[in-house]
Amino acid sequence: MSLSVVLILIWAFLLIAAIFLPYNSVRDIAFSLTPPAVILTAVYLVDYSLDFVIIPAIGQACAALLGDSLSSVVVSTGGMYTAVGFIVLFVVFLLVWGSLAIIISKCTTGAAPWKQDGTRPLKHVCCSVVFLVAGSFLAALGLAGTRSIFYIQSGFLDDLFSTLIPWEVLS
Amino acid sequence: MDTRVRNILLMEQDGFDCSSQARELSRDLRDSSLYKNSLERLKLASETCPTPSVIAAYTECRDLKFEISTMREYSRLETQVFIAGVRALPQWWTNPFNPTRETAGGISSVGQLFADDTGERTIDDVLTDQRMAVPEKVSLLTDRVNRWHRDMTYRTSEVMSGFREASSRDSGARGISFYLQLVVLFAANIFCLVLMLLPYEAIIEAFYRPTLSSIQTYVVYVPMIATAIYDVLYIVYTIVFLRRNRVADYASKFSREKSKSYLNNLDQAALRLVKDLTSAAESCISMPANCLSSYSSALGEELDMEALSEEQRKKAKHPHGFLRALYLFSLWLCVFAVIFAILALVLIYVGGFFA
Repeated sequence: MSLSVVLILIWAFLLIAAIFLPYNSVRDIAFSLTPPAVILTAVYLVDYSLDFVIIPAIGQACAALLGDSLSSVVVSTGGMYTAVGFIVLFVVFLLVWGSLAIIISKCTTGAAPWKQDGTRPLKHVCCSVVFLVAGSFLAALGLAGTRSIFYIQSGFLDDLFSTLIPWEVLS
Repeated sequence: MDTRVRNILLMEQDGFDCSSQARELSRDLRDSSLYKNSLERLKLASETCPTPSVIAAYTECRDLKFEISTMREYSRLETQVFIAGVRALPQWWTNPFNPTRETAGGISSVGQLFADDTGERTIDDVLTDQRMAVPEKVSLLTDRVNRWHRDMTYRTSEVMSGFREASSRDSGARGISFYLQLVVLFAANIFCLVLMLLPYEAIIEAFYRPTLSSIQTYVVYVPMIATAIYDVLYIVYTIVFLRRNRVADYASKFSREKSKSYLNNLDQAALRLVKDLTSAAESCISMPANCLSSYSSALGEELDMEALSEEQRKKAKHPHGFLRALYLFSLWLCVFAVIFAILALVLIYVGGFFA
C-alpha cells in the first residue's frame, strides 16, 4: 500500500464515474468543478513559478491558528506548512465545488433524456474529459502536496509527485 | 339494428315478453368481434394516450352492463357498443398536442380526425362542406380543439404534479439522508487518511506488518477495508441510481421550473390550431397534409408524456433492489468500522488498554 496505489484507485473511481454517469449529472459536475479547479490550478501555477511561497505561507498562518495540535505529526516544518496550505486550499475547493454543485443542480433543468440531439455525445465526452482531467490532476496535486505528512511511502508514482511538488519544498 | 331485432323491439312495445330474446342478443353482442376489438383497442389507446376522454371511453366500454331483460335496454346497449367502436378508432382518440404519440393508422393531418363523437364526418369533411355555415363549422371544430387542449392540460398537470410530489418527498427526509451518506463517505475517507498520519509506532508497524493477534492491525485495516467497500458501492449505487432516475430527475426539475411555460406553449398551440381551422373553414379547403405533427412540435421535445408515464409505472413497480440493500449494509459497516477504530484508538492511547 502506497500513495501511488491510493491515487490509482482515485483515478479508477473518477474514470468509472466519468464514463457511466448520465449526461446531465456529468455536465452539472463539470460546470461546478471548473471554476474552483481553474482558481486552484492558477494559485498552484503562480506559486510554482514563485518557488512555492504562497501555499506554505497559507499553511504557516493556519498552523499558527492550530497551535500545538500539529506537534505530534513527525515532519519537517516546510513539509508541514506546505501540507497544511494544501489541505486548507482543498477544503475551500471542496466547499466551493459542493456549493456550486448544489446551486447548479437546483437552478438548471438539464437536457431531456429522450431528446435526439446530434451534438450531445460530443458534449457528454467533453464534460467527462473535463471532469476526469480536472479531478485526476487535483487528486494528484493534493496527494503530492501532503505526501510528506503521511508515514506511507509515495510508491511508483513518486516521480509524478516530485514533478508537481519537488521534495525540496517539503523538506 | 337489423330487421329481426327491430321486429322484436316492436313486439315488446306491443306487450309481448321478449326478455329471453333480449338476453340472447345481449350475449351475442358481448361476444361479438366489434365489442371485443373495441375494448382491446380502447385499452391500448388508454395506455398510449391516457387523456381523461380516452380513459373515460375505455372504462365506459369495459363497464358496459350486458345483464339486461328488455329489448329497450338492448337497443341502448347496442348504440353504446357502436359508439365504443367509433371511439376505438385512432381518428377519434389521436390528440394533435400529444408530443410523442405515434401517428396511429397512418394519420398525418388534423383533417383526417373525426369532427365529433359520432364518427360520421372528419374535420376535412366539415371544412369542405359547402352547405354548412362558417360559424357553425368554427363552433364545432373549436369544441373539438377545446377537448384536445383540456385533455392535454389535464394530463400534463397530472404527470407534473406526480413528479413534483416525488421531488418534494426527495427534498425532505430523503434529501437529508442523501447528504448524510455523502458526509459518511467524506468522514470515513478522511479518517483513513488520518490513520496514516498517526505517529504511533505500533500503528505503523501494524500497517506494514499486520498480525492477526494485534489489535492495532484491526484498528488500521477494518476501517480501511470497510471504507474501500463503501467507496466502491457508493460509486456503483450512485451511478445506477442516477442512470435509473434520469427521467424522473429531469421531470421533477422540469415540473418545478418549466411547467408553466410548457402550459403556455400548449395554449398557444391550441390558439394556432383554432386559427388555422377557422381560416380553412372560411376558405372551404381541407387542412394541409402532414400538418398533424406541426402542433405538437411547437411544444418542443422537452416533455415526453409516454416516457414520463412509463417512468411512473416503473418506479411504482420496483421501489427497492438488491443493490440498495447491499449499499446500505456497506454504509452501516463503514460507520461501525470507523466508530470501532476511534473507540479502540481512544482505549489504547488514552485509556492505556491492550498495553
